[in-house]
Amino acid sequence: MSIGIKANSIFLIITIRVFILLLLILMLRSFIYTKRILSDIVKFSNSNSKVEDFLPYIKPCLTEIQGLTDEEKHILNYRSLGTICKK
Amino acid sequence: MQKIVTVLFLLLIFINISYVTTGVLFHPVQSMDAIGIWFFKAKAFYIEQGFPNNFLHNANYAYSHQRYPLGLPFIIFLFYRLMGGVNDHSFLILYPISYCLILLLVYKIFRRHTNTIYSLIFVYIYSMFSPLIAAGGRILAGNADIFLVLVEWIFIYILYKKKFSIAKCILIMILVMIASQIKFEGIFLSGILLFLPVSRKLRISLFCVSLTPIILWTWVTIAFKIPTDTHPIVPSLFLAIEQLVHFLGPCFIISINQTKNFTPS
Repeated sequence: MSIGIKANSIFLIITIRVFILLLLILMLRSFIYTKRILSDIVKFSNSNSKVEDFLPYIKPCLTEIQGLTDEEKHILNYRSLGTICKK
Repeated sequence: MQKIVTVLFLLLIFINISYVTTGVLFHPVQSMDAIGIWFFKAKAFYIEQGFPNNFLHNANYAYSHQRYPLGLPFIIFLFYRLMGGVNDHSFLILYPISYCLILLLVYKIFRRHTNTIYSLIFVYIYSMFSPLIAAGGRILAGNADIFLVLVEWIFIYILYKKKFSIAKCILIMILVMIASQIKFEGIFLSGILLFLPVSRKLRISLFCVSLTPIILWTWVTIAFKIPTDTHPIVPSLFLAIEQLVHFLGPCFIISINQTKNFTPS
């Protein structure tokens, strides 16, 4: 590489090559990440119901469950916090 | 060549930042800890409009480590109040911002030792660490760890400054106090206070003051009888210290009495 590394021993040469190999592997992973980013964006732009699909706090109404104890009702309240009931 | 390498690594870092940002924008909260502990406690704050005393004594929520410090849930609760309602998804935007800040701090620190290209290469390698990417906006978004990492990097950034003033010591102490309220692990940072290049008296004073929030929180957990969870590390530690004091106290008193009664022949 012409960015200032001077290889003057076999150990250093091997280290630099392993380092470059590591960088190439990481770049390959970045390529995979790019693919995922693009697929996310494409999925979002192709979605007909963008808000419902990608803003998870809008959820369908929870069905009313009969015969719950106070504790169970409390848990259900916590679970449904942050959801907007869509009828 | 240098310009090409610089642009290439800037592009790669930008890809990583985009990756964590899209993770937050297009995916819901996935981490079980985030759902079950951090956001859940914030909701408890929101429901009870203050200190969640009922929640912390409810055996149904024992899995959520009720003795954990409440710093992060409280910040999320303030965010909910600001937003006017509970919305976990909006809070997640802080995670890619923290990720970017961490990378910026890492770059600044590397830049003090080497040139721009090597700094960018090492920042890129660091930005590719799977746990950091996951916590920055992918599967672990919503956890507390990335804020702890951010505090630690700010810590290192301050320590790397050439001039060291008392104001910076106090800032480090405040960071330790904040870190200890994000997670219990944050308290281990207080050890660094003992090695700061200041007077011994000041070091010990800073160290003692930095322990105040965690001691207060432990006192609250004991005073309010908040049930212990499956990892009672800190309570055990305090129990061990208490037992040590119980053991050493009588020994100390006996030895003083013996010294009083001792008459040289």
